[in-house]
Amino acid sequence: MDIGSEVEGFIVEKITLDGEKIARDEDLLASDTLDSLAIVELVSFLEARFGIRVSDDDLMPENFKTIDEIVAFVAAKGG
Amino acid sequence: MLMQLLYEQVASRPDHPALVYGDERISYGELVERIERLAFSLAERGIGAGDAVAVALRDDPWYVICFHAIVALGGRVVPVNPAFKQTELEFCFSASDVRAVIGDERTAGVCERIVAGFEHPAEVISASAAHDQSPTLAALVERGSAQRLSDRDPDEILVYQYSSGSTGRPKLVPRTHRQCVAEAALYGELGLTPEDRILSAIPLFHTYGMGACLFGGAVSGATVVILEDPHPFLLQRHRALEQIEAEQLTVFPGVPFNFRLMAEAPAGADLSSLRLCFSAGTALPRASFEAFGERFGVLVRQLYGSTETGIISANMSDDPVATFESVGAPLGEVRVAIVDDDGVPLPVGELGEVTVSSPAATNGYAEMDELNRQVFRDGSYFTGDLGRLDEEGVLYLEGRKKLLIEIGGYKVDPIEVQDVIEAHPSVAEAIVVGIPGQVEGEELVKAAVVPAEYCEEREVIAFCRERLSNFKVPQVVEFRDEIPKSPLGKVLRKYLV
Repeated sequence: MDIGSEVEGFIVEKITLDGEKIARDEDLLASDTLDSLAIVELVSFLEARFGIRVSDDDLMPENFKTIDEIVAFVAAKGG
Repeated sequence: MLMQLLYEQVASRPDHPALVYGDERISYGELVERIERLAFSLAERGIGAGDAVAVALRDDPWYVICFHAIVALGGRVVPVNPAFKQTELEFCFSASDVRAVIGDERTAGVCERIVAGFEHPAEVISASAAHDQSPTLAALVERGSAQRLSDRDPDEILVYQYSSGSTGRPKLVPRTHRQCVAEAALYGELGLTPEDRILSAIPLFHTYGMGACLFGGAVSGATVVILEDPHPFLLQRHRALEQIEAEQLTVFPGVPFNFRLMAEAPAGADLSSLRLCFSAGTALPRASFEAFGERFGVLVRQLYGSTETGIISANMSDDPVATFESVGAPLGEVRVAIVDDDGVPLPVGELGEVTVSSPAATNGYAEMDELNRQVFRDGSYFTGDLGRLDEEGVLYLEGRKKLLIEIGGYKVDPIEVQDVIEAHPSVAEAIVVGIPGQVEGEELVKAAVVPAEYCEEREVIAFCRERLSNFKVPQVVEFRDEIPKSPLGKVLRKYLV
């Protein structure tokens, strides 16, 4: 499974919990899908699943706005 | 009334900045001209005294311009959370009988769908050009004429806000020009001056943001610096820190969540320009107070208010460390009493329900006579908060009688969530409670559900997500054979937490 599918799966299963598909370019911040607590959960998942280290400096909107941007961020971190 | 405050600022300091938003700076003179132009165009479209106009915008200068233009015409602003789902917006629009809705690129489309189903005509005005069918705010300002707006009757309703409560759907809270200007004066009691620069990071649709930034700015002539797109705050805290330092901000009204996240931020910042930091919404944990103070050398003071009353008190003590747990003494003409379950005043130091009498308080909820008789009595509002007063008249809060759940500065009414879950065809009964989150002072929404037939957690969640804002949706769903109750049928919530 590619990174995008895994990230989408995590968000759907653990954050939105509703099983609805999310478009890769959907703005997760504008839609309030990712609030502050959800981002903490997502970061824990990314670190555990992809072996990357997310620092506080990485907690920027441009890294978490869409699934595509999360995928690019994970890839840039070597995940 | 409220507009007169802005005219007074224009008369004495027309070029002084009223709003800062990113690189945009708007002086009091420019702000008032845009308000007058928009009001002119809105009046041409038939909006006038008594008309309710919903504002479903993210915080930006348009929000401020729309707010003042509507009320200057005698209209009633209905501020709504732009993250509300369609069913929540429908409820707000129909309960307040809106004549028009102002939305942005995110909300205008859903607003158009909602008003299309209304029996009476309602117009959608958009902040962006993305919606071809809607006139844009910029076009209305462009074609409007800047004409001085006349004063309003102080007893006209200025704003309809929605308050969480223990009766299911949010309650409509009308407040008049007189009451809102009285609240502005209470913010003036905090010593705000034209030299102050206020960080606006609390949503302007919220009573606290409206009071501290819209009213506080208008009464004092201070500059309000609006944080662009402040949500989620975890990703914007660096921007808040940058702006406080770069703009030399002096006043920061926040919630405990803001102060904790800023104290934990990786980047440092010089926040020595801040002279007043207020925390409201829920109790400020000592750990957050200490962490913010140690990190930035700034002491956070607690402030107390409600949708029904506006600001009530603020801790203005000379020693914020020794008094950090207090929310201060009532401001101006506000009076606070502590009463027992029968409404009888209690002696100094005793714990009871906080009641508030204030010139800024609403006269009562719209069309809720029975509830009004319960909570607006003898000229006071019964807050549902528990507290005690000391010998100096300083108030300390110690919890709530009402069953509200605190989520990141928002209050979630468990009954509203229960009502939604119980509307699911597979659910027989549901009880919603707040359970402790990972961080002190923060809660999660938990639903205990008795199914009528086989049902999965995700079905309940999906049902809620379609109908409720995300912050109200349960993070935990527990299926049970029955809800624990006392012999008298009272739900024993402590067994669900």
